[in-house]
Amino acid sequence: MTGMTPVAVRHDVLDLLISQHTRIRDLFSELESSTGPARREAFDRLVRLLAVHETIEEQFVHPLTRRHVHGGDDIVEDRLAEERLARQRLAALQRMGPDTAPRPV
Amino acid sequence: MTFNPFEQQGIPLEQQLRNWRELNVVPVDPDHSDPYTKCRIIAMNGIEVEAIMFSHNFTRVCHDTEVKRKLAEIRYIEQQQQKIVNWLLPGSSSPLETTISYEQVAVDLTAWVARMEPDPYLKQAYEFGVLEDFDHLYRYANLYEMVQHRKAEKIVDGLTEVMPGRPTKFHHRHPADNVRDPYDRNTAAPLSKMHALTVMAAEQQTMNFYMNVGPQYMEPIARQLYQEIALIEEEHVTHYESLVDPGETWWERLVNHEYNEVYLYHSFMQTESDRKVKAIWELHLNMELEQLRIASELMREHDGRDPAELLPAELPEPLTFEPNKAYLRHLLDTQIDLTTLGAGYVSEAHERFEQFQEKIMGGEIPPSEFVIDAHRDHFGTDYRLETEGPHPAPELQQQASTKS
Repeated sequence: MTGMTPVAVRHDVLDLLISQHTRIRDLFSELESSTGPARREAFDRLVRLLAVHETIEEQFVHPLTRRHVHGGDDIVEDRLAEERLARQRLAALQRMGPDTAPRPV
Repeated sequence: MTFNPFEQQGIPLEQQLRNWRELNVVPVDPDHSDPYTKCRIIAMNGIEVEAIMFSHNFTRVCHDTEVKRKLAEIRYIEQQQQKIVNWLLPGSSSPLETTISYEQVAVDLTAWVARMEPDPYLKQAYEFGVLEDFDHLYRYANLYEMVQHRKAEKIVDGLTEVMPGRPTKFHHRHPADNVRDPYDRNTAAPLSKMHALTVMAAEQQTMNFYMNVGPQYMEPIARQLYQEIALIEEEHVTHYESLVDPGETWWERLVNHEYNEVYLYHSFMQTESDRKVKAIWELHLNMELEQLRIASELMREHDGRDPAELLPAELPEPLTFEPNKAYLRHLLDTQIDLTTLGAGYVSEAHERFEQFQEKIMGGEIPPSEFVIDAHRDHFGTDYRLETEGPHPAPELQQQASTKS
């Protein structure tokens, strides 16, 4: 970190979503390399951020996609199906907790 | 430990072909692997691509069908080696993220080579070039934060500093001034020949990469910056390839290529931190030993010479990826204002340089400057990773935006 306060930072919804992608990637990385309470904390932050991220996409990006992109309705429906699946998996992971050993495949 | 590449037994060529299962390598993890593992992968990919294109060029001027068949056999294996090596890169990394690693290769590979190069004229060529790659790393790192909202320190991990080098806008020279004088094949040290081949191959791969991934971006500034830096890679390939003696016979070139591949796989095997990647370097070393044996046989038969007379029985000290921060800071302090004139270097902007600059700039600021201005507008300052203190050149020290 440079420790400087950013000035004149442009904030549109795409900036926000892209910077969230980066934070999500970093949180996954933190989760993999931490243990105990730090791991629990990283996990909780990740779950919260994913929920916020999906909500922003649904509220801002999906309506624009439906209106302006050729075949937008189908694209949005596919994304929604994907996100529903992700939410189910995430809920299952939340029940298991971040310290559960992976099942052998 | 002595390792004589002419006496070590390799894997017989007919046993080198891999099936689909063997080609299907597991890529490295972009977030947890050693940045220098990625550098070794990128460097070795460049070496294999050069091996392949050299072999194609040889084939195009070769009249002997038996030789062409032998080259085709080896080249197919080299293609598989290239696939294995380059497919170690993870699909989840964007081209821009890989670009940052390409520039980390260019910086720390060229700096190492410059430090180890025994010939002063060749050493100067690497010292000149590395300050330009160093600046490209800085420009792309600023683009990376703007486009992907992620800092290049996540990729280079503090091993390589990110700050201005010789400013990219000054790299655009008259093409005639990019041609250097070659070494003499009869008196040059074998290590000098390997250095020239290695850095030439790395820059050539970088040129090919940028000329192809640049248009895959939608952001205008990304498209423009790739165009600008890709044109400088053309200059760098011209610069380094002209160091190689054009009087080498085709057989000699073939043996030099194979020997260099043995040297580099052997080097990387010594220093690799990733166990699985190390196993690949070791396997490829054993394949290259056989390819060198075949090249040596061809040389004896067609050139009437024994490669052992040209190349050492013991490999040089391993080429190593390691931080070169103090060395680079010394170069920044002493060589930042150099340009080329004819086959040499000068510190003032001469007429041909200025005329070329005026034409290519067309009265506007180039993308490499615009990207920094845009970053300052967006984040308040340019992106840097100065782990060893402020920039050694006072005029290139960081300033906050004048807008606030």
